[in-house]
Amino acid sequence: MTIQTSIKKNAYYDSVTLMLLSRQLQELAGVEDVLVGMGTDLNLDLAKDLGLATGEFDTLTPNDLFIAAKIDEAQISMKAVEDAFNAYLNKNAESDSDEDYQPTSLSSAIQALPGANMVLVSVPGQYAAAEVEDALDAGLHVMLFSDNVPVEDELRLKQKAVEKGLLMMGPDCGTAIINGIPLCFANAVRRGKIGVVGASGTGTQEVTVQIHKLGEGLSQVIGTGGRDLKEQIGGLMMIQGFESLIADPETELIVLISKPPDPSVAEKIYQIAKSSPKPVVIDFIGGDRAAIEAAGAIPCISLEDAAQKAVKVLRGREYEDFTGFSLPEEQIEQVVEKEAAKLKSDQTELRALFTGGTLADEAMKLLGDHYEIYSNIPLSPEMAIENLPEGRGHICLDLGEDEFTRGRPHPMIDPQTRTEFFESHVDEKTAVILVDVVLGFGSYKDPAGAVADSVREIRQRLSTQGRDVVVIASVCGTELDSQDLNKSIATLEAAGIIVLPSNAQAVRLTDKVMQRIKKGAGDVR
Amino acid sequence: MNAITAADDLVKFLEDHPSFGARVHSVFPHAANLLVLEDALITLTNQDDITPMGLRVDCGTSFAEFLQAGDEVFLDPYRITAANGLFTVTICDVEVWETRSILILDALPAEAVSQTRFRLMRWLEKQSAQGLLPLLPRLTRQAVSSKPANDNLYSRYIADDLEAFTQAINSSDWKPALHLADRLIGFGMGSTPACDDFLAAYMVVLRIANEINPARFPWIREFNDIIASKAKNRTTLISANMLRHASEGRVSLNQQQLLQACLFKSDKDLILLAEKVLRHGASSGGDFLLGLVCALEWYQNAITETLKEGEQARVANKRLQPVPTP
Repeated sequence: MTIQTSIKKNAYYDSVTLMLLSRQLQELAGVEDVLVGMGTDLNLDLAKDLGLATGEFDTLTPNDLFIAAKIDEAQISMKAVEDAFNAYLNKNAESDSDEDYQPTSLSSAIQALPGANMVLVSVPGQYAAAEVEDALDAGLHVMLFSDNVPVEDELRLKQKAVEKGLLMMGPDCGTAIINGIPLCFANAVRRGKIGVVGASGTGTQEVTVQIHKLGEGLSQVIGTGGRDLKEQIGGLMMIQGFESLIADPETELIVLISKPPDPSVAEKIYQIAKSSPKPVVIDFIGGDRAAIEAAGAIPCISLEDAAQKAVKVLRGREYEDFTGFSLPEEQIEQVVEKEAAKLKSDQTELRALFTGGTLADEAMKLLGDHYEIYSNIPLSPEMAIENLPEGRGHICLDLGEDEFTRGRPHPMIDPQTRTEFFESHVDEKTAVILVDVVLGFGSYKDPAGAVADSVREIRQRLSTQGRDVVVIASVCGTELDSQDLNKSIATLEAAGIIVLPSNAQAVRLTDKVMQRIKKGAGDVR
Repeated sequence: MNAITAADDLVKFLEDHPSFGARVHSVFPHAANLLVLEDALITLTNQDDITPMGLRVDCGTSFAEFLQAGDEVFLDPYRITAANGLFTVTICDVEVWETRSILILDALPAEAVSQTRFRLMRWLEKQSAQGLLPLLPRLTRQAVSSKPANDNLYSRYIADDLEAFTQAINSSDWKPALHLADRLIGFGMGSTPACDDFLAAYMVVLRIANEINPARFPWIREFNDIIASKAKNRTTLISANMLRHASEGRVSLNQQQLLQACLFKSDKDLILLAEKVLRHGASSGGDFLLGLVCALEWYQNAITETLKEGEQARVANKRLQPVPTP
């Protein structure tokens, strides 16, 4: 290893660019450590403390940029590090060029791209309403990614959108695929005949992914934002999206996804379903099955079940609730026996660490009858995580909730939050760890790798006590996603993680392992 | 292109220097700095915010399209022209922004400042933790989450020094604080190192307190002058200019409006103003805001002490006045 320095005289870059470049350089093969900064005395002190100082530091002034790196010259030269730095910078510069100039206001963006008919708004919530209003006034559909938008603004804007025959997806809308273009968090799925309107982000992703896996495709995927089906908003965008899909010639079947709506809103949706000329599959996760059937729609027991039924109906086949596994039952039983045998008798607790809120919610609803599960999104107030007795019990967390994302990215973007929870919430009492791995646009480049690393570390930690742990995962993604479904599964399986093809199946397997443990170790409730 | 708004100190500077040449010092997509005399910068921007010695222009594209570091530029009171012929800004009928327009009127009592600071802190906790912001809980002595902070190498390295500095200022031990500032000036990654933004917030709050009651805080002028002087050789030129302006109570328009809302009666929404400041630069806005919530702790205590001593704040309808040159 050698320490080398590269200097750029009178060069100025913003700190975030330099931070990102530092991280990228750090990932180059042969680079053990790297520091980038302006040549001020204190920055140079930091470099010295890190053991990255060289004689060239004497020539630096505060207005010079330095790259100090510890490198293995057998693998990489300092010139190659410099070239990589310049390549990253040029990539940034290209995005700043006139050709890709990023307008600083909505009006200038509309001028720059006069043919656009949709605006994606992602500004702090308090500014969002004004931007959306301008967009709607300009006759543009809107996807509003921002959260913290007052409900009064949401209602007013959605009413305006409906008057103008436009979509106003959001606020806090994280998933949509419009005319084949994925927006925000979405997976690479083929186009097809099934249209989806979803009020829950990862729930919508799971359904679209399962439809893709079953060989069908999506016409449009319309998000509504989580509050749309509350009484105050009245389901304005669910209804707008639903009616749009009924009118859409490319859509032959419609899937609606949401947590249970307000009864008054549900009634409006059922009325439209009754008169829909196209089949309608409804997954109001844990919703009123009888009411859905009475509306002539098809109820579901899970997100995967919604996809299965949608595909079967589209193909004119018989359908029934899908409650099982893709693998034969005897094979599942073998897995359960083998995994449960790894555990000591006092390993009894579940740790479900989700990055997708709807997937966490679905897991609790599927497991809820069998276990008392404490959560930050509890099924009942007494099961709030704050009520966890002396830190012991079953836990299911939605790590994408605000309390875990303040000052840090969503765990689908940056796996660090979950990595920390693996360290802090898994111990010698843990029997089963249940996780989701969400691939697709907007998600981390290798979420499976991050989970696999955490699991290896945990297993190493537990092995010092002669223990192991069962880890069960599902991957929400396709082979077309940049992270690649098959590669992600292989990464997880190489770390001894059991991978199921859907969240519902992963939860069912978890249930079976937990039941098997109960038989052997007694109920921990 | 045309100038829209000009800082009053720039207008005066151009009047005092009717015709002269300068060089482009640095270029960013939304700003360009021109080096004048030996070490002063004029900042052109196409954003809403404007800095001291700044000029807001109706440039609808990146400045990098027209200018690059080292280009020769000619200035007079009516235009700025690049020697390459690609870039001319006409300065005519511009709005003049008063860089010292903080109204020292109706200073908020300590309790109100404390509430404002608390609101700001709660809001800042929820923002993306770039630069020094991971240190917010530690520097404000809030309950630290059981979760590890989303910190970075730079913030980890400087945490102890920043904490010691805030404690020294809180005790109004300005000489130790000055000594500790040696460990801060110029520390951080980008063109305005993070600790300089943090210090700028302190300096301008100190300066305002000094304006309100010069007799109570006689050390502030010297403190600010020394930091500005030290910065000349210890940090980037862009940052040294920023600290020099801050020592005189001059900050950007958005920062100025936020300070007004923090310390004096204002009908503007505190969080909206803070949001605008946060969006400045990459991490600079957050670093300034961290400095501000720390400096406000000193300010609210200092105001309380002032009232205890029965001193009347000079809150007549006046504006910040320049410090006379010694």
